[in-house]
Amino acid sequence: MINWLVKWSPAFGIVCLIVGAWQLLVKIQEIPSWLLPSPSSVATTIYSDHSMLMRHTLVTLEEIILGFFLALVMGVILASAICLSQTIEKALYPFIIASQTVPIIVIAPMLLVWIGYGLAPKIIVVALISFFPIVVNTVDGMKSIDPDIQKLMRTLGGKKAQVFSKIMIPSSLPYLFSGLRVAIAISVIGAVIGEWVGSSEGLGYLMIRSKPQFQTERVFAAIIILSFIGIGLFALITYLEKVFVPWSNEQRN
Amino acid sequence: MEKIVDNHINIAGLKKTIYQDGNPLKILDGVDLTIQKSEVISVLGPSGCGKSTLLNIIAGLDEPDEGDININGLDFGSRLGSVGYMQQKDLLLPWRSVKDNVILGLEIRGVSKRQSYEMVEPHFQSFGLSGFESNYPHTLSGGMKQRASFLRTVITEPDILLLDEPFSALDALNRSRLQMWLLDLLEGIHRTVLLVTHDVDEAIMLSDRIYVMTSRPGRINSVEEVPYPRPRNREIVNDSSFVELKSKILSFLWDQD
Repeated sequence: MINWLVKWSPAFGIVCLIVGAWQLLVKIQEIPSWLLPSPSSVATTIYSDHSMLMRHTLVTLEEIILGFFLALVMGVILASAICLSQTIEKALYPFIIASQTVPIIVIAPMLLVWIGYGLAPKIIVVALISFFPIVVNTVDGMKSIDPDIQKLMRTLGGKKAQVFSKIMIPSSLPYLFSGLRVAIAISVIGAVIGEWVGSSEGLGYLMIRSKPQFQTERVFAAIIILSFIGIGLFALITYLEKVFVPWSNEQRN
Repeated sequence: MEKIVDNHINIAGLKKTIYQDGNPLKILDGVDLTIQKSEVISVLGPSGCGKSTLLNIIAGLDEPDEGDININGLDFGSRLGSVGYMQQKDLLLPWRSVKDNVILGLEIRGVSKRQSYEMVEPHFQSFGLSGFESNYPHTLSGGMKQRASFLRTVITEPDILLLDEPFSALDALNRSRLQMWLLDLLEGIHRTVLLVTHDVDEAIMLSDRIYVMTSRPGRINSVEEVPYPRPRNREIVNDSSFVELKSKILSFLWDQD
């Protein structure tokens, strides 16, 4: 615990500095709280509204996790298909890249029209935004295998399927986890965008509902909770990588 | 000349040209080579003489443009999977323990995990790996990695072993230790071995015959018989005939430049 605090002390320092300066600025300039609430009033709001915030947090968290899992499954399947067949690679890769050039903010309202309100369109928005780094990284990982290992597998009599399962999949795991770390961070954004477009619950919904009501404290409370979700999930993935890909760090060092 | 069937490997007039950016590059220009059963031979040559291409062809990874390659008197069928090929790098898979790396070839053949473990178990001692079976490769020394890689190659019991500069990544002391270890091991397992190296001492120490290649395009420049009976020991390096043979081979190699 002490080690952990020491390790992250620079981050804590920066947070303290920003929060302190922010609090001071609001106090000295007498900024009204609808314009910029002080950290202490945001903290008070988080405390007093915690059950309402918790309800919205769970909704958003559910969207993030389900969307992320959909992205993971889709991403790995697509990456495998791309690596196993050049035809599939040529057929699909341009569309995968194109899917990222269309702003998600344009797609989200269409999903609303097609699928309606509810959980499904949010999950799809999260998945659409986060599958891309998963595909790209996993493809890179699968293609990064040493040609000499390919030779080794062939001289041992290995078939293409064995090369895939015994070599390509394990060697892509460190890359997959890099992709997952990027994906989890942006999937938080995806969930919020999905809610902005049309929803009746969740932290993103809470933000757009609170803003016109001048409950700026709640907007900030939602932002802070979202950051913690992002950091927490990122840390979780880093932890899972250590469990499932223990060789990854040794290899890099 | 012996009948082809008496020879384990018979290579005649092997030619190979590769294309680099559309330009033809002649790699092998008529290589002839004969290896009897259980013989250890070395191929020595300057870098870029096509030694690796030759090994790739024998292993079945590549096909020659011209020439014949017979193994056990047969010139058909895929050589892949029947010739053990140990490359320069140890190529141990970082996500597998030593034990699981060693059984890779057995696994590919569909041997069950339990049975594979039983097959490799008795060899860890003689390969200097006992106590390290469950270690991951990154925790091993260079020599141990190379021995693990060697065990992976021989455990599938290929008739023919191709060794591509197996000790080149090691420091001098470890290299000579591993050479002596290999010398003992080869006497026990009676395999046909083709060793590619550019270490003349290593070639003389380990092999029955040495083929010296020319620089690109590769051809066999001379064939030297190594006169020492087996079992051999380190002392032969001090023999005057050893020094003579070494300087003769070196002069062939130096004439290349």
